[in-house]
Amino acid sequence: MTRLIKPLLILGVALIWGAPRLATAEETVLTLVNAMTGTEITLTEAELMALPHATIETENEFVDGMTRFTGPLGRDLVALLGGGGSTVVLTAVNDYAVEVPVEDFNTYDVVFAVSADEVRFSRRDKGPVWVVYPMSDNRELQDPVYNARLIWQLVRMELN
Amino acid sequence: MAWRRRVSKIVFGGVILVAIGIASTGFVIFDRSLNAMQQASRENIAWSASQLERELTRFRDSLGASEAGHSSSSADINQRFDVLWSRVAIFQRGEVGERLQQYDRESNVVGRLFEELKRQEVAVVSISSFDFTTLAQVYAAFYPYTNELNELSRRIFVGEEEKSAAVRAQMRQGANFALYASIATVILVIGGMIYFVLEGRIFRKLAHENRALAEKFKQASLVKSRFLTMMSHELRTPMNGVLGMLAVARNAETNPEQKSMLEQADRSANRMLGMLTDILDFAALENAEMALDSKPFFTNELLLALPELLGPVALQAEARLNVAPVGELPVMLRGDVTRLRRTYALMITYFLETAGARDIDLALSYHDGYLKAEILVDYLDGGWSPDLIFGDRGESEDSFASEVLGPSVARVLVSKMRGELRLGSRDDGRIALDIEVPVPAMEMRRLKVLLDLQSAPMEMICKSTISSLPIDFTPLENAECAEVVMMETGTMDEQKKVSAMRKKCPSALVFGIGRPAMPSLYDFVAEVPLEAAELKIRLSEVLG
Repeated sequence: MTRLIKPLLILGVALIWGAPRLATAEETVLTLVNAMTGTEITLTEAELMALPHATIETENEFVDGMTRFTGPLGRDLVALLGGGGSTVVLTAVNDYAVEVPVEDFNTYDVVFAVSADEVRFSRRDKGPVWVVYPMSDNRELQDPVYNARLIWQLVRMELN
Repeated sequence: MAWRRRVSKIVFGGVILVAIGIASTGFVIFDRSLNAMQQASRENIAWSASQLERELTRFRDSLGASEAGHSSSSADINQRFDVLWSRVAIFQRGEVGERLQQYDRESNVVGRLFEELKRQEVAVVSISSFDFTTLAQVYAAFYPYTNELNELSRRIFVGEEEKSAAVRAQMRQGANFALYASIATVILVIGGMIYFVLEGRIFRKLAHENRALAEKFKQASLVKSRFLTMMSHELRTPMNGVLGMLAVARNAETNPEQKSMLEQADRSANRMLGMLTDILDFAALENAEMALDSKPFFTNELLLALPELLGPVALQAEARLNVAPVGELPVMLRGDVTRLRRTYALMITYFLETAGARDIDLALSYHDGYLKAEILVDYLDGGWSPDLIFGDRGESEDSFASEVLGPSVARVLVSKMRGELRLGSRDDGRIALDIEVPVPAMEMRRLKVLLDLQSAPMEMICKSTISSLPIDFTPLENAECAEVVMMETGTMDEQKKVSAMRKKCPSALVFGIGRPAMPSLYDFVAEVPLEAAELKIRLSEVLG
């Protein structure tokens, strides 16, 4: 019997963890920092989902065809930090970082997407947040410069 | 000349077509290069591949750190596992995934790695930092993929480099073509320009030759016209002699048969004299020697002169001629009355003598500065058609016979007077020829004339002569107001009298009536018996 219990326990734990993992309500999924004022906002999954969301429909080189991306707008997150600044540094879970001009958020509807086609991103699939530019509607964005800004598994945004 | 123009057109068309062809080809090549550039500037998949390799290394490092007793927690291991999973997922989706898979079709290392991830998932999820056995097993399971992923990254790097090299070669090719095309276009354009410059020179030379030829022909025509004028003039002199002799012969005793022959000869000679006059006019018009007068004249005089002039011709043709005004005509007009009269006379003579007119009505009317003469002709049917002379000018010139000379002169006269000649017809079958000529009407004011004549009869004669003019006779006591003073000549102290009158009326013209001893004292002299027309014209000129 005990020989059976151990594998079952392992399987149970595996089932809980194994499915594409979503953060728990208390776990910080995104940290927003205003380096100029020292403000730091940590957003849990629930708080991130509670923010006003926008939806854009676009293609890029990492998805199959037209996809609907939903999430808070970049400019709203900057406003949440009190605005100002000229660039934001976006950092992924694997410490990959990219610097993006704030002007991008004012010019385009840049979405900090939490879902694609109504499916919430898991960490194994670009979650918790993927920064998406509306490339289909703006031909000038179809460029490697902007491809590099499509950072996924985003965990931190720092306004400078 | 025509073939040269055709060649020029073909060369011009050819240059344009070749230029369009080169431009189109250049555009296609440029477009292809642009597309190639866009393809080349897509996501760098070599980087994506290296990221997969890097994340595998980091995952294995986290396992290795735990195994070695360092501080890697199970959460860290799981996070690395998730990130590695996400990197594998990139190979399965989108254009980037498709391009990455092209390099992994044979080895399928990513597919096998994904299967391995799924196989090790349960172990990783439940892994403990102190479960060294599992850590070692998982570490070992992923170990072989490190080198394979490294090899995959190398293949992708080399493959992408080759593609970039192909794009660069294509762009170089395009640039070379653009260069050659530009050189070809420049050569073509320069060639075309040289050709057209040479052609231009040839055309300028031809134009110069044409102008010289035209001038030569003009001179020849002028010489011909002058010869014609001279000959006509020379012929008129003996013709007048013939007419004179015929008149003498007719007065001599002749039998009826001889008289009839003389009359016939007289008519023919008169007709020839008329033709010579027409030729003279025509030649003068051709030489552009004829200058038009612009003098005041009485409309009434024109109306009276026409029947007087043309009556005998109508009588001879046994036709009826009626000249009448229509509506109100201005009293005085300003224009070339001689040429107007001649125009009407030429046309009416033509209708009477050539077209077989039985009945001619000439109606003169005036409107909007134009004097319109409507000549209505009822003619005998005899194959004559007004189109023969009033149709296209070319036709009449082709059939340039003596009878057409008069109408031709008339038509040119009308044209010289900036008038218009229109042919039409009336419902009653009569043809209607309208001649409209711009002739300004003169504003009639009253002329102040002082008569300083010695006798009452002379005063009466003068008043009667100029009575048709709008004249106010000024009494001697108001002499200073007079515009014209008519003084009788040949009196005692004529010079003193004229001087005294000029002092009295400094702005007046002094006309002498009679035969003055010193005509130079007067501005105009009207000899007695008074020549009414001449006097009236001079007074009209003062009025105008």
